[in-house]
Order: sequence, then C-alpha cells, then structure tokens
Amino acid sequence: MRLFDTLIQKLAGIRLTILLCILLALVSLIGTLIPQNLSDTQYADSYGPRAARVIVSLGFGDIYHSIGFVSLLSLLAMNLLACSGKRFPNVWHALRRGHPVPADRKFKSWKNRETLVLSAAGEDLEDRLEEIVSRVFGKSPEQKVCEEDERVLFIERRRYARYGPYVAHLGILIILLGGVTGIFFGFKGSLTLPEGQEASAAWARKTGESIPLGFRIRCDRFIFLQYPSGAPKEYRSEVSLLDEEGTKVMEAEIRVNHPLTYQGITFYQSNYGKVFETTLRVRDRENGQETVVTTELNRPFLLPGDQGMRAMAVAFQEDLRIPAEMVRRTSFSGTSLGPAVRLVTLEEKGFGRPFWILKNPPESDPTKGGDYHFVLEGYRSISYTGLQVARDPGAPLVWAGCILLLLGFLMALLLDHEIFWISTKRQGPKKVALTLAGRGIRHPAVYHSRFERQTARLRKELAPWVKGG
Amino acid sequence: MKESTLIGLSTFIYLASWVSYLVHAAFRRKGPGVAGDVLAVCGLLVQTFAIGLRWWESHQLGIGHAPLSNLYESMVFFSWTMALTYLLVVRRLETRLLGAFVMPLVCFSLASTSLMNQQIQPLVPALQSNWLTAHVFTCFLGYAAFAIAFCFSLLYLLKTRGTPGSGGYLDRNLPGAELLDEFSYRMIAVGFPLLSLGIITGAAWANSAWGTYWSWDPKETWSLIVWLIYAAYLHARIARGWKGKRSAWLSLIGFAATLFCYLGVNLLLSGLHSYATG
Repeated sequence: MRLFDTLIQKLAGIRLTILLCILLALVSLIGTLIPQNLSDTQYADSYGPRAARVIVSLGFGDIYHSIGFVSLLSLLAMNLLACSGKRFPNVWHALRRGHPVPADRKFKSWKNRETLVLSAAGEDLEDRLEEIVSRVFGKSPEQKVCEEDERVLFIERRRYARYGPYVAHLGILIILLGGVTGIFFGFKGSLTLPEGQEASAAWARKTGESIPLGFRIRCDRFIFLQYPSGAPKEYRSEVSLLDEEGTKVMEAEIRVNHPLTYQGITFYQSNYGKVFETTLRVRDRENGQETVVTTELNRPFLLPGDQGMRAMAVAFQEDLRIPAEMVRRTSFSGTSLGPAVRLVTLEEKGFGRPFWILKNPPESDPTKGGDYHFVLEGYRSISYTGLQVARDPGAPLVWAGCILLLLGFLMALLLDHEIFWISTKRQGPKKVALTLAGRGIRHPAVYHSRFERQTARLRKELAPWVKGG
Repeated sequence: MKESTLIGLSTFIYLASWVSYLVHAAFRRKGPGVAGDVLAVCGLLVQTFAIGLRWWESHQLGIGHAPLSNLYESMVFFSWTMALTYLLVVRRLETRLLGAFVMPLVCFSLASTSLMNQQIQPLVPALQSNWLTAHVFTCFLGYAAFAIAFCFSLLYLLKTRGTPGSGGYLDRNLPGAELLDEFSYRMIAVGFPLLSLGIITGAAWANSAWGTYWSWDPKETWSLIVWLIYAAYLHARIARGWKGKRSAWLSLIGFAATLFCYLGVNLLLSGLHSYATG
C-alpha cells in the first residue's frame, strides 16, 4: 500500500512532467536525425549492417510509433490526469470558499500597498467610496466589514485565471484523445485516378488494403497550370461524385489547400502524372494470326492463338534515350529513339525477358518476342490525378483541444487572478486612513507595475479628499 | 527606391544603433544610449517601409502575397519582430544595456539576407493559403519573444557571474538580477502561447493541404522539441520554483533549439518546409 501511494504521488508530481517533457524532446530529436520509415536494407546501406540492426531493433526507424515513445506519451497523459486530479479540487474549494477578512488585517503589510490619509468631513466619502472603487477597478466591491470606525472592501478580478492550467491540460488530453480516435476510427489512403476513370475504393496508406468509399468518384479532368517561370501555379482535379448505381450526385474541384469533403471522407490534391495507353499489333510468327490490343501499363493482355498466352507492357517512353557510348556499339543513328514500349511475356514459370519495341522503325529482329512479332501502332497519354483520401473522426477533438489549450495559456500565463483589500479606518473626527493592498496571485512579481497604475487612478479619484492634496 | 536598398539601409541603421549602445555601455554616458534607441526606431521604420514596399511590389507583379514565403522574407521578418519586441520591452526597463545584446541579433539576421535569393517569387500551390500569414506571423513573434528572453537570461548570467554586490560595472548598471530573471520569464510566458498558436495554425494548414495535421516532419518535430523545452521551463519555474541560474540556462537551451528549428531544419534536414530554403 505504501509503495502504491508513493507511486501515485510520483505520478502526480510535476517533477515527472518535467522529466517526461525532456525525454520526449530527446527521443523526438533522435527521430529527426535518423531518417524515418526506410526499409531495413536502406538502413544497412547508410549505417552499415551492425548499426542498422540496432536502429531497427530499437524501433528508431519508426520512432514516433515505437513502444517507447507511445509509453512516454501515455505516461504524460496519466501524469497530466493525476496531477490535475490532485490539485484541481483544492483550487476549486479554495476559490469557492472565497476570501474571509483576515482578523489581523494582514494585507496591511503586503508588498503592494498604499496608504492615503483622507479628510472625511462629512458622510460624503463614505457614500462615494464604493462608487469610486467600482469605477477604478471596473467592478463593484464586496463589503466585508462595516463598523463604526472601520470599513473593509474586497475586490476580486479574473478569478477564472486560476483555472488556466487545468483548462490547458484538459486541452492536451483532448488533443491526444483526438489523435488516438483518428488512429483507431479513421483511415488515411490514396487514390490514383486517370482522366475519365472512376473508383469506388481507396488504398490504405499503411496496409495497402482497399477501403470502400460508399460512393464513386470520377476524374473528369486534371489541370496543371504554370507560372511563366515554369514554377507550378495550380494543380486542379475536376471530379464527379456518383452514387453506387452510377448516378451523378455532384461535380466538384479539388485543389491544393482546397480539399473536398463528401460523406465524411475528404479528398486532397496530392500528386499527378501521366499514364500511357499503347496500341499494339501482335502476330503469331508461325501461323500468321494477328490481333490488335489497346492496353495500359501493367495490365496483362491475351496474345493471338488459343494457347492463352499473355503479355504485358511494363514501361513506356515518349522518347526513349540511350547512353551515347552505346550508340557507337549499335546500329542506332542517335541517342533519341522516339516512342518505345517495354514488353514482357508471361510464361508459366514467371516473366520472360523484358524487351523494348520502337515505333519507328518497326521491329525487324526475328528473335525479339519469341513466337510473336510486336508492332507499336500508336499511343495516347492520359493525365491522372493522385489524391489523398482521409476520414478522421478525431480531428474535431484535436481542434477543440487546441482551442482549450490556447484559452488555458491565456488564462494561466497572460492573465492573473487579482485581489484587493481596501480598508478605511477612522483616525479622528475628520481623519480617515485608507489602505489599499493588492496581489496578483499567480504572478506576484509582475503585478507591481499594474498595482502602481491602479493606485495612481484611485489617488486621482480620491484627490478631493486627500489631506494636503 | 528598391526594397533591397532599404533593407541594406536599415541594416546599417541597426548597426549604428548597436555601436551606440556599445559606446553607452563602455563610456557610461546616457547620450549614446538615447541615440541607440532613436536609431533602433529609425531602423524599424525603414524596415517596415521596406517590407510594405515588397508587399506592394508583389501585387504590381500580379502575384501579390504577404512577404513571408521564403527564407529571405522570413529572415527579414524575424529581425523585424525582434527589433519591434525589443522596442516594446525597452520602454519598461531602466537600462539600455539590453540593446547591446539584442541589436547584434537584429543586425546579423538582417545582414545574412544579402546572401539569400531576394527575388519575389510567386506562391507555389501549397503556399496559396490564408494560413500562410497567420502561421508565419505567430511563429516568428514567438521566436522573437524567445530571442529577447535569451538576451535577458544572458544578462542575468553575466550579472550574477561575479560576486553579488561587488560593485562591478554590470552589477551597478543592470536592473536587479531578480528583475532580469522575471523579464526573461515574462518573455517566455508570452512566446510560449504564440509558438503554440504557430504550431496549431501550421497543423490546421497541413490538414487542409495534405490531409494530415501532424506527420512528424522534421520541422514539426523540432517545433515540438522547442515547445517541450519551454513547457519544462514553465513547469519547473511555476510549480517547482526554479529561478535564477537553472532557469536561465534552460532559456538559453530553448533559444538554441528555436534557432535550430528555424534555420537548422531548413538548411540541414529535408522535409515539407523545403520551400523555405531558397
């Protein structure tokens, strides 16, 4: 039991908060020095095999998702909860209890105090004091003592500032909760859409799984604009959203910084590029059978004949270039060969050897393509747009947490809970000693200059009564 | 008049201000100190005009945007926020020695801009956002507050280096050690919420541009490191009563991390903020 209590005490301690802040900073720092999320072989290439093994086994390659980092964050969350849970009730009760008048009028010995000797010929001052004080402090005072020879007024400003640290810490907890919610209930994926094509699912970024959208999205047009200097000016995808039956629901635009949200799923402009569609004439060398196919890259197609042989285009270049030193050894007249497609046949034991086919001149090598003769008849380029697709139910929590965090900082760091005591004590038939004492509870050291401004205003308002003034 | 000429002019005015403050410190005369203040104000005015001119010029070119979009513009703005923050703070001080520490920071950061690409460039799509101004503005105001806090902490460490009450020059002419310590803390208490606001506006921007509010990019991570250091500072100070030397050293470390977050990350590490290098 003893141990448990000590543990709870430590968990609720600010010492732990400071330690966790520094540890989190150090671990984060490591993550910026070692490139994140590379493959094991990439680490081996840049750090050597032994260091790479250390990096991978310690989880330094994905440090922000490593057990160590997540534990530190969880510990921080528990520390914030325990710390606030321990202190908040005390502050709450203290503030609700309010401020009883100290019997010994202790405030008269505060560092920030001012005593004025006033002449109080009539009842005038007594009546007007409250009004003057309200004007100076912007708040009507509370009368704590009202006796024949002594009156004590009390003013409290910005009491809520005392809750600042708790509001800020609650904000951090909500941000963390939002982050966790996003990880468990949201997804991040991507989508590549050539113009004119549609998709009903995105690909999850981490797992590569397909995520059904619940509707269809079609890319009608992708537009890339440049400044005269050649710098990119705008990436714009014009898309249509279709329901599952294929009926168009709406048209929309997606640009960088201007995502599109539909049914809780948001699409972000991410990248773009071109895909090629090639038209190939294939002839069986033996029996002369011929087919013409139009195909995209990486999509197998059937070869003529009934053996069910297939081939696939794996690369396309609008202008195939070969290194100059190769030109000398071959019959090519230059380094620029024009449009070319790289093909591969799919055989039972796997892929055949890939080979390039030029558009001009048509291939005449009888060994290329084996039993088949390929001719590149034509090609067409299609722009595609790359979209990020995300659903993050945690995001609203994160933003709410951020607002609380900022409000909490404002209350805790920039505003202060101020209290003032004003006592008037009769010192003779026509003489009253007025003492004003003030205190900034959380930031006493910086309160002084504010107190001076406040007393200056009060002195000015009370000028008619000040003795000898 | 050209914007770059004006920036050069303001660099020299700030330099003159620094020299005045040094003369003030060395010969213990009030005159040069006042001259330092006046020159600093002049430098700030010229620089403000130059920034405004650049903004206007960008609109004339048809690519109008706030001049906060690349390393040159951010560095000019950084020195501007430091000079402004200094002038706001110095009114509340009884000493002008702070200027001898802040002005070199302002001068050197501004002088370094002459090595950078000064062309007004159009905004690439990722930067075309209303968040740009809010994000850069809040971040750099935070950085400036940390820079001034750094100077106060430095003064504090200098003041307390000798035996207290030794009657040395710094001891006699600097505000009390407690006050220096307190001012340093106040600047951090202002800078910390500003940095937080800068990080949050950056996250909101990243979310609308890339679909994720936090991706552990080096810039984001370093801003978190800076945030954590100052969070540790504030907790140590407010709740555990760390004052004086220990908190002064933490403030120095915090500012070193701030500088790395601003410059080190841009120049040494690659990431999403790469457009801020040219």
